[in-house]
Amino acid sequence: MRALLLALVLLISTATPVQAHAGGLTPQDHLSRVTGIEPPLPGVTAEMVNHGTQLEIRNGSGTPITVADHVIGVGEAYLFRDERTTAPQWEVPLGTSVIKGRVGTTPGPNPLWWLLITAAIALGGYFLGRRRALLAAGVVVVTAAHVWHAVGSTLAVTGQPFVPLLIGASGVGLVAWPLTVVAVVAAVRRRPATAFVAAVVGAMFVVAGIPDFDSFRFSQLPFAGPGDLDRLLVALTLGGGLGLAAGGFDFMRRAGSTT
Amino acid sequence: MTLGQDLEVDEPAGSTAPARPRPRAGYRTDLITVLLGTWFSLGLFLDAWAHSNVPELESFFTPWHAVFYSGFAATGAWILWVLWRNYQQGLRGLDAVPVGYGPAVIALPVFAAAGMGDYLWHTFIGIEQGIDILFSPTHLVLISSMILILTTPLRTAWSDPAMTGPSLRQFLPAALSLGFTAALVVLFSGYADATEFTSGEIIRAFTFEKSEGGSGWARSLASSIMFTNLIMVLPLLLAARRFRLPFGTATLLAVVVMLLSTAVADYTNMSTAIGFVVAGVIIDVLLVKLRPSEDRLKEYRIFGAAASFVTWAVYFAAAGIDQGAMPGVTEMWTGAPVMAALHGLLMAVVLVPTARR
Repeated sequence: MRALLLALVLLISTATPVQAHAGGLTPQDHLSRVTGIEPPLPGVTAEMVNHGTQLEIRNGSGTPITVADHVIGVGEAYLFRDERTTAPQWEVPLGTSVIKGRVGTTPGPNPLWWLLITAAIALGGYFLGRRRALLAAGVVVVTAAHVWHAVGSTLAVTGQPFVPLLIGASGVGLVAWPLTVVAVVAAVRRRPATAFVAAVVGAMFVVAGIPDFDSFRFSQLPFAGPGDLDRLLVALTLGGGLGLAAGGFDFMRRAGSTT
Repeated sequence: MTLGQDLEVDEPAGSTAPARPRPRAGYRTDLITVLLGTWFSLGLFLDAWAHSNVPELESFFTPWHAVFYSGFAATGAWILWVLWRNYQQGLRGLDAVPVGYGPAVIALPVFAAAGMGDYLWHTFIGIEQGIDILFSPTHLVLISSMILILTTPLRTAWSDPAMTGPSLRQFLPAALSLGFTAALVVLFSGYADATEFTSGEIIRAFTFEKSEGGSGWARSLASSIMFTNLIMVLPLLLAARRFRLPFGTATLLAVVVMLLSTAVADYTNMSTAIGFVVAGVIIDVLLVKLRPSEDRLKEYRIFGAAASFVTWAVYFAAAGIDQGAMPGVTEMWTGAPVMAALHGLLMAVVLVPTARR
């Protein structure tokens, strides 16, 4: 059991960050936004997408328009990165008009509160290790949080296919999500494997959640939904994962000491 | 997976073992280990393909990395399961670790730490897209720990005194271990990898004006052949020392390595890959006919030379058939297989300098 514990502890303490927000988007305090097109071009819209990193222009007018040396045909959309959009107040020429925008900055939350919430969830997760059914329920809740976070992160990305992005964002979820079914089946059948699977899945979710620490300290999160919801999902993934790993291991230790 | 009941009990390691012998992983355990290692490796092959063929690879969080790291997670979970299963049988501490699995248990956290380092490297220093991939320190630790994990079934087989002349089915986990290990070494020798050359490139490389004394392409192909030859022949020479290798081992090795090579070359080197697989079949015939081993030193050395010669003779034949012409400089394409054969012979002599008495 010591070898198993050592391997689990090392896996957790040296966790590989294999999951964060999809498409390489990262939490930040600033966000670039379009404030308008002057003079307005009927049928033409412009907005900053992909967490304020790219400008998307849709041409719904009757004539082609030119932006950044690129001609956008009628009915077409063009997505591009332009360094000019990172200035506090910025302008990008669009045909005979100009796209105007600004970078707004919002201070992030105090990360200590979210770390406390994570620690509380971890403690709660640990106590789930008292009963096999509770462990399985905990695995389901933490997995749901992880799936929601991965899907919400993927939906925040524009211009890329959903499935490859979701696979990229899922990381170890490709293994942990199916193992959740195994944990439930094992619990229903009252098998000792429940605790093992809970511990392993928990460790994987800690690995998955570590890169998301930044969600606790930045205000703007690349997530299709409220920022605080994403922070709660990250806290559930990280804290719940840690609690399940510890609780599952404790269950195995107690069960093992009787053999 | 038995979910904790009706456990597959690992066999004790050796009949004259002490009271609490280290367990030995069963065939099914090793097969699952190597299949999960295959997932792990295919993720790396996909990642290698993406690094070589997808421009503007901006994010660490790509589907290819996800396959790679989830393969690692699955392999890690499986190895922990094996330990836990033995723990349930009453084995404690190192006694719960099957023979041959110890290096993998150490390699798992090492791999995880290197993965963390790789993430930080990509974030703060940048993503490699060329030869620098092969020299990134975090990548080198990743690949080394991967090899330790992937070679687990080979260590199990090696430590089994009863396994001397296995069937291909019995040897499959170990053979896949060898194949994926060779493939990873080929991957990290991409600067001297002859398998990635297309038939056209092979013909052009060894076609030059003799008065000019060669060309950069000629030197590249020549050195790649010598380097790749060692990677392909050494696993077979090493395994032949310990086992009477079953028919199919060399073919399997070639297929696995070509799985990687064709992905990295974006499937432009198919005729070259077919050549390697055909050579693998011929080498398997050599294995059956010669039965090379430490005790049959003459056959062992002939095998080292012949396997190398066959590989590169077929290599040029495949290129010639595909292009409808052989390279312009006859000395190059006739001499390269001979040079490779000499290297193969040398390796056989180095591995087994004298007959076992």
